Amino acid sequence: MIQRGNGATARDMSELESLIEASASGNRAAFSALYDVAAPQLFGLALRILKRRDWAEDVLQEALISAWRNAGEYRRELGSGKAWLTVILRNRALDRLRREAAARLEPSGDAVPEVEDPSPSALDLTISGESGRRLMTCLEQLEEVQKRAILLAYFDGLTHEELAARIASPLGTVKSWIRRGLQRLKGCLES
Amino acid sequence: MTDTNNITPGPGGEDRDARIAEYVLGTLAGEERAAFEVELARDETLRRAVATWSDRLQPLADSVAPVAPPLALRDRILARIGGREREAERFSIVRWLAWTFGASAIGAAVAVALVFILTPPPPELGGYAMLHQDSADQSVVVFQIDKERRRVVLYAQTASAGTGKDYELWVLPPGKAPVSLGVLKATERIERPIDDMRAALIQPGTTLAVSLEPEGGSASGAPTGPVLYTGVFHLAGN
Repeated sequence: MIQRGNGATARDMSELESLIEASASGNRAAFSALYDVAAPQLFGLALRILKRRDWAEDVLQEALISAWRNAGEYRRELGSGKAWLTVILRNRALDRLRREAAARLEPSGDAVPEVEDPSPSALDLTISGESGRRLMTCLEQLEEVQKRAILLAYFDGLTHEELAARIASPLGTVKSWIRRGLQRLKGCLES
Repeated sequence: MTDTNNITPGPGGEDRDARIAEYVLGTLAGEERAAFEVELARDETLRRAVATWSDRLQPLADSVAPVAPPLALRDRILARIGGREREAERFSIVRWLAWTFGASAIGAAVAVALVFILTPPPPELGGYAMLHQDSADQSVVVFQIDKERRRVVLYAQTASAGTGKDYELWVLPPGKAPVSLGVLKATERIERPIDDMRAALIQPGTTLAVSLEPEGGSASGAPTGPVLYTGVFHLAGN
């Protein structure tokens, strides 16, 4: 289902890093440029993980405000600006998912609408760009169940426990699939 | 936990690297995740390892189709971030030219923030300049041009030039008179093409400047008002 690859272009690479650094010195104009460059991709990812527009909007707002406040901590040598923003966004999204999951267990909590389960798409992705092709190749070398667990965790924000329930396998087994899968992925990417 | 800094392969290191990967993937939850973040806050090596794993998995995030957020969200976010701009220095272009050769600049104040940004079509960045008030480190203007050198998009965030005034962007080719790159209104974004003659003047090391001019821009074709921002053009990736 996910058809559109959006590989890093030279443009958004050098641009985002510069814009994060300018934001760190309090430059709101640079930050609004950063918003225009980065927000659509981050919003797409938030929607993919959260599956609810209202949550995705909240999370995008929290993540970008956090990026503004913490821009001074960004270091080019630690990686791309895009990856830095993605980490912030995903952390916020995962926090929200888990908070909502906990609230759902409270009897007085508002009922959360059921959402459609788009999980099959996670197994059917195409990624463009050199690093994307490399990651795809390495993912394809994993056992199907390892790949599935990793993609469900990444795109649906599932914890070890939730994955175990989703895949209907024991927790320990799921943990070791993921752990071995990530190790193999790293080995493959570094080879 | 005897050696938290060990991320080299080995029994402890392998376990640590696995936890880093699981943290980035997002499967660590609850106390495990919280404990990891405490460690992360005080361990530079750990932050590096997290960044490495984030870069590895970034193509997954890139595979998701972008979705334009609602326009109101942009306003809401920009309203929530604190305004921290300094007051802009103003000085005449003559003084600015003197200043670049070592003389001092004289300032007056105006608060404004402009961004010149290129957006797609052709998405590849050709080059950019970060324009600022004087020798201050704080950039307040970003100028970008695409690789094909066909289009620029200018946008202003809080700029108000004042009644009967406009901002004008100039390229200052070495040894030649400044050439106008057009007038800027206090609008959010202006997209415009750039002709070959002007594009050819924008070379690595060339200075760009924004001056305050009468409405519609300088009538003479040369800057007349105070220069607010200057910056040097760089090719992308440099």
